Amino acid sequence: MMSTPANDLDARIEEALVGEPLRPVPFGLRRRIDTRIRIAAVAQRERRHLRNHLVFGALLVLGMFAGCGFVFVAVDLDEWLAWSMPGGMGYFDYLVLSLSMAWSAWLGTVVAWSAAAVFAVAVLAAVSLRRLRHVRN
Amino acid sequence: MTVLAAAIPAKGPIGMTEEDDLALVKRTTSGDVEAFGELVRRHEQIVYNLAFRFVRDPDRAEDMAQEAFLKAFRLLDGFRGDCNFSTWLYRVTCSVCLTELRRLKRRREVALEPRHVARAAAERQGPSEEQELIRHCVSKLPERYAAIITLYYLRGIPYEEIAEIMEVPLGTLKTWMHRARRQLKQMVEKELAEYDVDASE
Repeated sequence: MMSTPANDLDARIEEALVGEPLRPVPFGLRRRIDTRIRIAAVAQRERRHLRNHLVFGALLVLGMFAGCGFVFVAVDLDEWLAWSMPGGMGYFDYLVLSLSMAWSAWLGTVVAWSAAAVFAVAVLAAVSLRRLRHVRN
Repeated sequence: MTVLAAAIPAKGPIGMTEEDDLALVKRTTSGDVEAFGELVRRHEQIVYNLAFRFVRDPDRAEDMAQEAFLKAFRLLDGFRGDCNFSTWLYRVTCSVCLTELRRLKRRREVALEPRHVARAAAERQGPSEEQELIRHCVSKLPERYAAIITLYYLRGIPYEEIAEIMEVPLGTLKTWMHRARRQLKQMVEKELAEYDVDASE
């Protein structure tokens, strides 16, 4: 059987490849695929939500900073404190002095740690977003 | 070619199926997971058989089919509809299977030699051992040759579509096909000779 002349080998190869029947799909394959697809869909949706929340949070923080900056510039706080309330200038001097004293003490520490924490969260968020994009691809 | 055409199962009206496929893809990308289930139902047999012809192992082929559909689902947003969905899906399946083959080679999980498989088939009183040996030789070809031969004989996909799946020009594909056939013939000749020697001992 195996010693057929080699000149019809092409035909035998063709016959073997063309004649290979399609195998039936294993029982339950579709159900297993459906299950995995549903899980993947949920994971995808959650990833999208997380990304949206991160972006929203970042925009909110940036917006707050921008808003504070705008208020300081637009309201001209020192002028307002000095002239719009009784004893305003003294109160303003008191605020400036206490802030400058506190900066080197505990308030300075809190502010520094807060800044460090914000920076760390931003770095973590950036890393997470990169990993999510990588996983998705 | 005529033999091949006779052996290919009827495919149905391609244009209509593909139009429906595109509609299902759109529904899936807009969040309807059921629509993707319908795509799975339509293409599972070909995807499973494609995977089987790459790995020649029913269990592994099933895993590959699952992975292929999962990858297709994840990448579906990137499907722009500039080719048939089936073409794109076969490309994804080939990619998954070739990655798996590469991984197996890296881990040195070597498959049985074709002649051993043919002997096992003969012992099981299965299909002709020579045909089984030839089919196993295909999976031992270099990756791209195995891919194009598998795609061509699976359901007679035309050269143009195979070129699209493999993302190579038509001329390159024809050259590959010629080399793949030549290499397959040499491999089969060698395996048949060794099989005969083994059988006579």
